[in-house]
Amino acid sequence: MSDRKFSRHLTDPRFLANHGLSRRAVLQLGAAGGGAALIGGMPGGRTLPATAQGEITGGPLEVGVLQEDPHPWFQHAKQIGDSLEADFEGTEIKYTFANTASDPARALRWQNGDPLDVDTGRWSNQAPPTWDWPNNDFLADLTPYLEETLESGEVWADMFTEGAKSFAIDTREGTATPGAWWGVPYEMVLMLMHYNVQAFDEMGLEPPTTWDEFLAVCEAIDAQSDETGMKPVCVSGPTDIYCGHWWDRMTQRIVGREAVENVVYGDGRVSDNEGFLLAAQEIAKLPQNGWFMDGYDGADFTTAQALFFQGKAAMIHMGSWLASEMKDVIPPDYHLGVFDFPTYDGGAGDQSSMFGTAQIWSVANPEKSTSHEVNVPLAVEYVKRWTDRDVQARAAQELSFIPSVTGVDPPAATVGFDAAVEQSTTSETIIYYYGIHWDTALWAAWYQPVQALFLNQSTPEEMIEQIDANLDEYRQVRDAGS
Amino acid sequence: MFQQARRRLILPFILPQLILYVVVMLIPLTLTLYYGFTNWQGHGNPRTWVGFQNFDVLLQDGNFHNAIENSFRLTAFGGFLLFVPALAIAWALQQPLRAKRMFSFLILAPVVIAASVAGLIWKWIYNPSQGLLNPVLENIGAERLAVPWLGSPRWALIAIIVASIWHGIGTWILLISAGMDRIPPDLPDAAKLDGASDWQVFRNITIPLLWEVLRILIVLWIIQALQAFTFIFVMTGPVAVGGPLGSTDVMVTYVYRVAFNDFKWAYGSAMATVMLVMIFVLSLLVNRVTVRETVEY
Repeated sequence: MSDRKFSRHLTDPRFLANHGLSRRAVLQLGAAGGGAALIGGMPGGRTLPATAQGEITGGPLEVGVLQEDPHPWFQHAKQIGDSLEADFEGTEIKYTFANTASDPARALRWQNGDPLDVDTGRWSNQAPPTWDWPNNDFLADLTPYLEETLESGEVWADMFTEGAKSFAIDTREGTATPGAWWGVPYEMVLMLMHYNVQAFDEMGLEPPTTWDEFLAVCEAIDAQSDETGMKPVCVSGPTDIYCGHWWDRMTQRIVGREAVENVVYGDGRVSDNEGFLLAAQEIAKLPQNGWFMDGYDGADFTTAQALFFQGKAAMIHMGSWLASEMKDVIPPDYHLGVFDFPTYDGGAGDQSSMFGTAQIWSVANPEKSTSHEVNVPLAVEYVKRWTDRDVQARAAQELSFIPSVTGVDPPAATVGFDAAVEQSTTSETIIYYYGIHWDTALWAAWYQPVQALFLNQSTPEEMIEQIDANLDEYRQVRDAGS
Repeated sequence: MFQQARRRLILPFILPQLILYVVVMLIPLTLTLYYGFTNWQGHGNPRTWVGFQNFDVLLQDGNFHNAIENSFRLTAFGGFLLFVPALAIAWALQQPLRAKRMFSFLILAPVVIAASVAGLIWKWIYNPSQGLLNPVLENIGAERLAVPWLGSPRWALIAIIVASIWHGIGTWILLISAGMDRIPPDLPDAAKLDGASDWQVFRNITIPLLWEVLRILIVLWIIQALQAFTFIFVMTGPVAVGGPLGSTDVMVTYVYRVAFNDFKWAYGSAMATVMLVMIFVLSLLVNRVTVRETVEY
């Protein structure tokens, strides 16, 4: 949403009512912001403490972390937490593991009135399965904070890239809270082809931009695999959703986002659009030609990723978290590069579209917490420090984070990141997996036939037939009210 | 007087357990039964009574049918893989053996490992490129047996069954051994004096006299196997949905996903209710079918 459009919401009575604001309050907020802007005109990098609901007082704060101690990701989070503890007396941060696998446990806590004060996975404007959290008032509305002016004179909300905003700001069709920020994006994630730069250089290969070039690259790598021990592509056969990356990317290129969403979330059938079969036939070339790394059919995703960094495959399609997640096993002299999924000549989809998401910190709504009092200003200050440009720059260089704010260079260690990030600023970024991963029944219906194809258990034609059959059954169960 | 005093003590002794039973068993059970008849989706949403709607949906849900099928496969195949070696080993441990204690220790040792840790150990053993099993098979000339164990829809469930039996067999051997200890030693001794072979003694004396213990253990196995979760979750989860092509998805893993991942609490509760009824009925049935006349010699 553009700033102009957003400003219009500040005079929209429905928006104001939804946020518990009056026009006067908005004007006061604006005046406060202006005042802050005057103060903030002074040089200095640090942001002002959150003030939308008063001064910050120290206290206990429980925050989510995606990696455990001593992983560098955890150290990064702890550094931010330590600065908060140093600045606000009485602050004590508790770090709770908050990756995808722990989501069910955390969701239960939220539902039972014991939320993490700062958590992830609770909100994405592009992921319908997360919408119940703001719809049922579990999240604090951070809009007033985002509208504040920082010490630098910049409005906090204006710091973020357009891509990050598309995941964070509420632009849902028919939403009761248009323009609301139900969380703050602290990292952008892009689904990218990662490749072994050294291997490419030694074989005289260039990162492919079209699918035909990609196939040619695979052929060239495979031709030398007896000598190099390196196959073209790494994938985890037992992990259906990681096989599904290829299907999502290829179908988007060939039939386009709308056609895919019409099948996944509407009532369309893949067999009614020949593009789907073409997409299946194209990705089937990988297993048919034996281009997956040895042992891919039994390697779980962690093993598969480790094997990629051990040189068993030249390319892997994965989220930009890969370098950070596997930091401990990447050889020091490994040279990682990225490029976006190849385009498909004559494809009906937008050939520049990217897949990804924004990692978002949400803050618990104090009214829904029965176990403890949520210190919203302190929580917001913690979140705000994640978006400080110096902190973002450090995360980009040390953890390969793609910044969620403007004016920060993307990770330098990875070849091609700058180009990918640049592309994401001008292209549509579709939420990865189309958000299917939030509904495991749909996930199984959509991705398991792809897995069968990749495990050489079915043909492209059978895969198409199976997806339709699975979706028929999925819809039957869904429509029956479950 | 003494009896009266004893009676007065009953309540204080029973009360703590009773409270615990009600809180951790009866209340959750009743709530689960109730939720199964509502449309509750979690998130503090209101819940309304929908009758048998969730159960009607279950009839059409192919994923649930697949999970039931896998649960029964695991129970039947796992039972066979468990009881045959457990009986043999328990019998062997009854014989005069050198280093008997060491054997007992080796068999019981895996039991003390946490199931999640055992699952991880086996996940690495089965790893096709970095694991232990396939290189061994390849080096002894059995390359054809070196399959992608956990990545193969055909082998994944079997691989998990083997791992979970390795982990738990010690307990079953211990229970069977305790049953064998109760057989009066003069019976097999007398049979041997009459010229019976070890096999005849085992078949005609040990098994009949052990049968009452065995049938209880079979029922316990059915109850345990139909609730299998940890090994499956650790070895083929949590990112993949029910292993390769749903081949390791069993009732509990499916209930877990539906309730905790998709937040379809009502639907998950209905599944749990069906599971409860199935286990209950099957246990009764097996208990009834395996009844034999008491053997006395």
